[in-house]
Amino acid sequence: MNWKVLLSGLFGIGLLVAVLAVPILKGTDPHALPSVLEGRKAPGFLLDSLEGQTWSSDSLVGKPVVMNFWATWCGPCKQEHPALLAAARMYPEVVFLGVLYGDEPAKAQRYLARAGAAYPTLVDPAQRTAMDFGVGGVPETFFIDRQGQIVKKVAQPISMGEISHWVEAIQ
Amino acid sequence: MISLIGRGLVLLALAAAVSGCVVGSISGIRKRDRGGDWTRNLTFAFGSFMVMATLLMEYALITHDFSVGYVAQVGSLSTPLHITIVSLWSALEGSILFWGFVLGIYAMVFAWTTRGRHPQHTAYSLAVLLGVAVFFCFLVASVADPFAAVEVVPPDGPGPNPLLQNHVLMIIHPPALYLGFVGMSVPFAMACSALLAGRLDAAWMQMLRRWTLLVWSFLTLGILLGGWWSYEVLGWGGYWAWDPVENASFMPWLAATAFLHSAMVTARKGLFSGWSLVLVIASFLLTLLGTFMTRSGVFNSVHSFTQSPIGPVFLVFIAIVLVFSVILLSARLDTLAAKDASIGSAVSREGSFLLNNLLFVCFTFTVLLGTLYPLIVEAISENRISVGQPYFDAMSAPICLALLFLMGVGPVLPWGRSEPGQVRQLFVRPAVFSVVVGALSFALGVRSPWVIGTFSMATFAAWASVRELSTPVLLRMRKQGEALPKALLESAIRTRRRFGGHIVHLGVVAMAVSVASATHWREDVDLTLTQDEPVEVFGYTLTYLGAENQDQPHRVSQVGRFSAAAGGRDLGVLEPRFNRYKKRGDEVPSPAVYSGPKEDLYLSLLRVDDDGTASLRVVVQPMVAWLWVGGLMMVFGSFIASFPERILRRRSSVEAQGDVA
Amino acid sequence: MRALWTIWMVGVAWSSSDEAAVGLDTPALGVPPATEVEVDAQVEVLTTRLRCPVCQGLNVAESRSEAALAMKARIRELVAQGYTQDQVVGYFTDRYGDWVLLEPPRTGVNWVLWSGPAGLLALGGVLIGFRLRRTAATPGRDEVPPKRSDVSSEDPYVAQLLAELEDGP
Repeated sequence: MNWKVLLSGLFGIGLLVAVLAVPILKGTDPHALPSVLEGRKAPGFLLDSLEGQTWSSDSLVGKPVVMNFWATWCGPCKQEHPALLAAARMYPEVVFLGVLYGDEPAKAQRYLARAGAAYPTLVDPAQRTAMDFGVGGVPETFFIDRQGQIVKKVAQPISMGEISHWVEAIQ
Repeated sequence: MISLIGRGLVLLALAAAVSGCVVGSISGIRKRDRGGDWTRNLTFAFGSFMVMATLLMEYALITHDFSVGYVAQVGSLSTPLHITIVSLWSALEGSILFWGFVLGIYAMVFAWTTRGRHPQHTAYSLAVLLGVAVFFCFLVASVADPFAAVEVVPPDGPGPNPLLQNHVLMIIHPPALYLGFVGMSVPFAMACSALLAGRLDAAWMQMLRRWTLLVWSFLTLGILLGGWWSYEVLGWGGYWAWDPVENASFMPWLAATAFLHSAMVTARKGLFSGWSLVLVIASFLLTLLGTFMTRSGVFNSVHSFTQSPIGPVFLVFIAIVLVFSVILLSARLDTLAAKDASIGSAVSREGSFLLNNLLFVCFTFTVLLGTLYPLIVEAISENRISVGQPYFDAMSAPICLALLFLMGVGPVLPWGRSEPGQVRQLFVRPAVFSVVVGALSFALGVRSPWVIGTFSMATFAAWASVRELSTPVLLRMRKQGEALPKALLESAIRTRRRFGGHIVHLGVVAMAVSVASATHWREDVDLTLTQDEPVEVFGYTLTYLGAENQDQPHRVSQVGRFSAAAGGRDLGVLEPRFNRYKKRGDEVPSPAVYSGPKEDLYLSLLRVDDDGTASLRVVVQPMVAWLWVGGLMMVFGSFIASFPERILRRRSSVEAQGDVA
Repeated sequence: MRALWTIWMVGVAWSSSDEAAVGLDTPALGVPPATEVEVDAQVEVLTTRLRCPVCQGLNVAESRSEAALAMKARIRELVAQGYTQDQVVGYFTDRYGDWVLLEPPRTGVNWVLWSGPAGLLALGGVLIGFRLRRTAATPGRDEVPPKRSDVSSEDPYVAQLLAELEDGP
């Protein structure tokens, strides 16, 4: 019985199985992007809304902001839309902003006319602002507090419960 | 109804596998032949039940029986028949059933071909093989059950994954890969039986080599088809991205290739027998690891299916097989290695095989490390990092160059000690040729050391293989007066391992040259074309003819039509497209490729606008076709090499000469 | 040759790459590249180093997705403004994390990744070297000599083939 082979083999097995077991146990989604910006200052932006108004991040300092990146070609975005509408009406002191991601303004306007809009949607040409926010797909929702810090990024369709939870955190 | 019968058949297969495993083990321990018969019969039973279960599933798919869980998951009334047939392996549950099917066939073939020979080894092998089968039957019967009955029977289903329906390569890639992956169980079982019995005789080694070679051919074919499909379908103009799942298939291939070479030393000189068995076991373990990586949802990859419950079960199985192998090896390695003498001098064919193995092991380790590293980092910190193409390319380039070099050295060096003068004489001409080719490349404007190195080493390797292939043929023609075709055929048959092996090597050389050329001289650009206005790009004239929508029962395609011409010659109409699958809503792009012997013109549609313009990506890469040719040469060569003895024995009354590999 | 490679890799691993501290504000920019060709060259390198955020492991150069095309455009803008390679990389890693780099930075524990392969090669070479030296005296089973003594060529392969042919079909 070659003890060297046995012991080193079992040790190696232990390491390998541990490495493979950890992600299963943690249940991490390999496709989800890391939220690097949480706890840091939100990037500045200067964008026009679908209605033609200009919005600047400077003007939002002192107010809690919820920014939701979406697109009309994104099914889950349409799924979460009612929750966002309801939340916007429920929390009038919070500034809700939609940001269009890789889509045409005309299509967005048509969709909102049908599905309803309770807050402005900003147009982000060339996805500059999306890149600044580290957006890796839609929908993504950012919760920004009064000091302009990103408290939370939710990188999947968001529910009413989650919105309420994080809105409380930024108020 | 079908659900019930299907599950019943799978459970019967499980019962047959369990009993066969037990009987085989006892039979092996007792070395009695009688038990061997029983084991064989139980193996046939297991195989038959799996085959029946699979055929039943196919029947359910074709008749669109949506009461069966898997059919409800991937079936659809609007899917064409041939796609329906292959949707058997389009999703997890069906593919595990398919795994069991292939395993059943392999087990039956193995049991049949070993009847009446090597009773103890065969009994042990079947026991191990059926042990593996127990696991897969268990998976099919419990966690990944395709036969699960659906409570509310839907009128129609969503159809299989759109990627499966896009291209014919996707139809043959999974079965070929499965034949390779599942097939590794057989050499594993044979290696385990040698360890369990405590001896490895020449005849068993011969069989082990032949089986591994056959499985290796399929694995090579499967990987080749995967790369080819990636190129033809995914639209980025590449064929290998070091994606975790690609690596998962590559690692067992590397370990098996290392075995095929070390086995030559074992067969010839009796050395490295323990090490060879370690490599076989490693190849099998890597296929299990690979399957885990593909199916567990732990890795971010093109192939990843959503995280499924089979992940943890698979991991447990891997752990069990690992522990079993380690215990077996530590118990028996010393008995086998005792016979090992050592190689005389490093400058010999044995020495080059040793170096070959070292390089292959390092290569396997590198790919494994790179693939698992993100997991390791995430386990010990909250960081997420990527290990992608740049890392793997940087690590594999020197190893591949070294291997190319060895391909030119190994076959030329004689076995055992050799005189320095003799060695020098053998290498003078190939060395000169390689340097000339290198200088020529430099003269033609190549500045990348890797590319020049590849061309030089490829020449060096090609020299050795051409010499190995031509020498027996010319000798036969001269001494026996045979005509070229007969000389070729006779050489191929009599020394088929060597002959086939060198065809494989030439295939590798072709692939190396292709990869180096394609990467170095690749040109790409994103263009917007207006209808009927020709554009000159990379020596081709492209004209956008317009877009059309094609409506088929299962999909709608937006097709961009481009006419291409080069040097005045019309190359036809290329039609890159977007396919949108109605049931699933996914949009899958499909590039159009014009393959020439010198280079490929590759068009990938980016966008079609209503104002008569289309944006597309044009990629021109030289020598890509030679990649597929080289790969097919590898498969062809290995089929020649693994051609079984007995079929040829009927050809000539005298026993065929033993191989001189 | 292997030793040199090992030394180089270890050196690479030990030198921690000093990434410029780039906040979300504009860093201290260098001189913008003078010609389009220079910009193209820099963009080409950068797009092969950065990962497309929405794809499965593809780099920005090869991906056809909207996100990748937007990223490519942004890279081009930044290079044209005078950002260095490190600064562009820093811009994206600030927002997406180290994950967006297709090869991990050569810092900290990552030396395991970068020097692992060369280390194993060296270790294997050393082990084999020891084994060869230790049992150099005992040769393996001797080569079966060619049956005929009139080996007309010095080439052992030809000699062997001739011997086989003499043995009969």
